[in-house]
Order: sequence, then structure tokens, then C-alpha cells
Amino acid sequence: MASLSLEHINKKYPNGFEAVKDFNLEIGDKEFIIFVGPSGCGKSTTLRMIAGLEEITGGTLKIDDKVMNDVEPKDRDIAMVFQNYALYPHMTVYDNMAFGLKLRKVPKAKIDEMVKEAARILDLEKLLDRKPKALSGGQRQRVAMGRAIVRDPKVFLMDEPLSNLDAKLRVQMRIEISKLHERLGATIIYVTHDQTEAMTLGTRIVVMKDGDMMQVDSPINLYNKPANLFVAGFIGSPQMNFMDAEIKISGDKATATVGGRTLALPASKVKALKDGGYDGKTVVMGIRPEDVHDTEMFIEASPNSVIEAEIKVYELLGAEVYLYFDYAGNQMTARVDSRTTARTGDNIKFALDMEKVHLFDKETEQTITN
Amino acid sequence: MENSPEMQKALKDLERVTGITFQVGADSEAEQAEVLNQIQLLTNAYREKYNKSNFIQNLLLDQVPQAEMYGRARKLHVDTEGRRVIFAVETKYEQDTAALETLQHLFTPQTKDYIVQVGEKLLILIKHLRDKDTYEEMEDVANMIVDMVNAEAMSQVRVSYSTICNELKDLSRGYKEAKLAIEVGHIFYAERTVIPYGQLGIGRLIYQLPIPLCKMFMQEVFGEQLPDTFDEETIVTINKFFENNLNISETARQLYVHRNTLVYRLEKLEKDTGLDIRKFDDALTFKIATMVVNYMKFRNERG
Repeated sequence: MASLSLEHINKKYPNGFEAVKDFNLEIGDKEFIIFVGPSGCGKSTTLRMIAGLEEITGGTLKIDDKVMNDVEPKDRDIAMVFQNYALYPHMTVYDNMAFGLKLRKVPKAKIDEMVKEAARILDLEKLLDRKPKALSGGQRQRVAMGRAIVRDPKVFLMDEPLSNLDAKLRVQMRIEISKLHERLGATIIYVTHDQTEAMTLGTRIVVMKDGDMMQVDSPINLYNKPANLFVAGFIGSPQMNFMDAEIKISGDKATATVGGRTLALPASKVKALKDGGYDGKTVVMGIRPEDVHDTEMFIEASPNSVIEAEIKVYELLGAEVYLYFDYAGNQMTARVDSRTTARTGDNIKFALDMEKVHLFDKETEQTITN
Repeated sequence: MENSPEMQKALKDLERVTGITFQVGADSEAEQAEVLNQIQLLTNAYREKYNKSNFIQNLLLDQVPQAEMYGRARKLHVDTEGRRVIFAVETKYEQDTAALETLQHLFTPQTKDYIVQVGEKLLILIKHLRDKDTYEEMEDVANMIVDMVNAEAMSQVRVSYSTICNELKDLSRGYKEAKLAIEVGHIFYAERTVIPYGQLGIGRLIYQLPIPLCKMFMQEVFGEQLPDTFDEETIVTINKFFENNLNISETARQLYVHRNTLVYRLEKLEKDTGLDIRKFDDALTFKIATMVVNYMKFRNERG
């Protein structure tokens, strides 16, 4: 397998559109890297530049220390799995997997060896003689994966490979891909717009927006220590709650006033606010839905962070409940235990876990403190 | 006199296509040229009559008289009924056999689909549609072609597709649309790999403008300073402003500049060009002008 290095990579089209700006990333051997971001953020373009399917406007791409900028896709020792795959309808599973190798004029004996090995890895051995119409959706997806595996590449590039599958199959295939990564020990670069997919699959995640890298980190760090407002809002479902808060610092203590209610900020947040000169300024305060509590015990223990609101929607998901409410002009969500007695229309108290709040600069949208 | 290399090639072609062998013994160059012409005509006539792919090529190029079209189609077992769409697949490299083979295995005559190569870099897929198929399915097919050629042939392609052709005689119109979409896509939508003819928008209109008219328009709008002579920062600012639908706050945020900096840049642009792109009419003029510049560049490069 291989390591990759992307140094100051950018992509600009002749019409002036800049799809990727100054992209820098070192990818280690056997890493599972995810590029995630909303549509049009440049994640697929970056992947296609690595594949050689888009020319690199500026910067250097290296695979195993060899500069690859002008190397043809077929000579980069990569394999790709894309969203809009199709199986050749008149070929058997075996021939579907072998076709790419035939195009590359690989000897028959070698093709046979590679296809059988890939079929073993993917548990497709008994299906090799079947035609695509006799396969289930999951089996078809595995054949598509098999076409990449038979190439025995240094790097796998996957662009939203699961987005055409239904929700159940997507979860199943996500597990399969994860297992495959372990079994192959492969370097994988995976593009998705789905943050759940990103969080569950990646060893590291690159969050992108408008051609810029927003943050590169492990899934848990992205969730707990977002670098900016965008990452905080993009990672996590339901989304982080945001509200404007006016900061007051006095000595070693600080408060955040939201909608007329003054909430005490923990000591751990004060230094960053002081250093940044935020006294008297308005910042954006973020809190994850699971850190908004409705239990009496938590409310009693946190008298300085209690807010009151009317429940607009009660959504039972089985093990948990989402409570939707408005506070200080912001739509908020609380993720609470399913034993909650709160229902739509109730006016109830919530306590915010102030240790878990995130504060962002209102203008630059960068994190002040997590 | 001895047969010229052209004559030898023409005789070989004739034998390959028809199975007929000829001995030619011309006395003069003029006579040989006349015979060469006759042999080439004969070969072409056979090709056209009996070769399905040639027939389809001629259909696309509008070279089959309507009176003969349906009869010849039936003889060649080409379905005369049904709706079709033309997909133009432009490969990066000439004679990309890997891309051609990938397509040939995805779309087969059994599914009433045909693939013909009409240029060094251009493959045409005539796709038969099912009754329920809409433009959404065509978009899916186009994306699938791009992804499959990328992954299997490891080759770059751009795909365009026509509007629906309801009859055999409409195929030439579909072909023209798909080909035009590829060209217009090069000029105005370089970042896209799939270009539907039906979504070319204003680009299609500009593509049909005569160059003198474009020059006149540019002179009237910009005088000497054409939009492509602006500095990098101005171009990035304008593009971002348009991408964000003339929203100053969002553009400033995305450019990491203060709102007032952005306003200053836009005011400077107004001073230079007389166009205040914060106003819709001026923004429209500016957008069209930049597209016209791209078009003129393209035509200039093409000579």
C-alpha cells in the first residue's frame, strides 16, 4: 500500500471558477481518509485530481514520494469506485470483475488468480457464474468493489459509492467497507457528503467547504473540538444548537447572556475569552442536543444554566426523544431519554451543560474555546 | 501503368467490404483517377447499404433520404419505432479503445442501443428509451457513463445528451444538439463532466453570436478594459459574488474579507467599468460580457 502527499494543490477552471484552494494533506499508509462536505465543496474534484481525472492547476501530488501530477490515471496504481456504477448486463460476475484487467491486457492466468482472490475476500465465490440480474443490490455493490480490488492498487479512491443504495443496504455496506479496509490493509480515500458515513468509517476526516479545508482531524476530535462554526454545524446529527450570547468577564468569572437569561460559564472557558478580548462582545454559543438536559436531577445541580421553553415538537425515536423548541429566536433541539414526560405544548425547564458549550467568534466564525 | 498506392488501398477496401476483386490496368493518370473514383463510390455504396453502423452514422449526419430511411432501417434490423436520446461521449485521447469497449459492453444492440465512433475523440450512443424514462434517467445514464469510463477504462470523458428524439428522422437533430452541447460545455461549463443540451441556457445563445457582434458589444460595455484583463483578486471577487447570488455578506464571509472591503472592491469595479454589479441589470450585463469573452477566446483559439 502507499502514502500520499498533497502539497498546495489547487484547481481553477478556465472560466475562473476555483474548485479547490491550497489543499495540503499527508496521508499515511493504510489510512482511511474521508473527504466530507456539502455539495460543491471540492471534495470530488480533489479525489479526481488524485486519480488523474482532473488536471492539477497548481501544487504537487506525490504517491510514495513520486510526483504524480502528469502521470496518466492508469499508471498511478490506483483503483476507483464511484457512485454511478453499473455492471455489464451480459457478463457474468467473473467477467464483470475481470473486464478492467482485460482492458489493461493482463495475462489470462493472472486475471483468473486476481478475480478468484477478490471473490474470496468479498464472499462472492459461489456467485461467479451469475449474471447481474440474478444478484441482490448488496451483491452487485460487492461486485463493483471487486472490480477495484482485482487491480491490487496502492490506493483505493471511492466517491460516494453507497449513495445510490437504500438506507438499510447503506448501513450494511458501510460495515462491509470497514471490514474490507481491515482485511486489505489498504490506503483508502473516501468522498461522502454524509457525515454519519464519515464519522463511522474514517480514521481521519477532512471537512471541506467552498474549496477550502475547514479541519482535518479524527472523528472524535471533529465532534468534540470543532475548529469553527461550519464544522460544529456540519458534524453531528441532530445539528449543534447555536445562539448569540453576550459575554461579561469579571475577574476569573464569565457569563453568557442569551435571550435575557444570564448563564454562568465554567472556569475552563474564561481564559480563552479573556485572551481574545471578548468582554462585552457578542459571540456564538453552541451546544450539542445531548448536552441540553430535562431531568430534574441535572436541573437542580445546575441552577445557573437553566432556560425555559415551550416544546414545539416531540419526536420519539425509540431509545431517545428529540424535543424541538425555540429559545431567544433560535430553533433548538434537546436529545433526551425516552422516559421523559415532556410533550408538545408543555412549558418545561432545560439545563445546559455549560462544560460542553462551544464558543465561536461571530465575525470570523473560528472557535474561541471548546 | 502501375497502380498508385491510393488505387491499391481502394481495391483492398473494395475486397474487404464486398468480396469483389478487380484488376485495374489504366493507360493514363486521368484514366486511373476516374477508375479510383468509381471504385471508391462502389465501396461506399456497399458500405452504406449493408453496414448497420455506417447506416446509423449516415442517419446522424442527415445523409439518408427520408424516403429510404425506414426501408433500410428495417432491412438492417434497426428498430424504426420508439423514443431515443443521443449521448455524445468525448474522450480525452484519440481512438480511446478502452472507453469504446467499456461502452460497447454496457450498451448492446440487444437493448436496441447503438454505439458509433464519429470522430477521433467522439463516440455516439443512441440510447433507446423505455416509456417511463425521463430526463432524470438520462442524467443518471450520463453520470454512469462518466463514472464507468473513469473507473474501468481509467480515462477521462465528457458526456452530453440531446433532447428526446421521437422518430428515426429526428436522430440527426439529436446528434447536432449533443455535439453542440459538448462544444458549448467546453467554453462555458469547463468544470462539468455532464452537459445536457436542454440546460445550456444562455451559453447556447452566445455560442451562436457572430464574432463582429461580440466585439461590438464588448467595446460598448467595457471600452478598452476587457473583463479578462482584470487582476486575479477582482476576478475571484466577482465570481464569488455571482456564485452567492449577489449577497454581499455571504460573499465577504467566503472571501474572508470585511464587508466594507468587498463594497470597496465592487465600487472600484464600478468606477472602472461603469457597471454596478450589485444591481441586477448591471450584474446581468457583466455576466453576459464575461461569457462573451470566453466565447471569443474559444473562437480565437480555434482560428
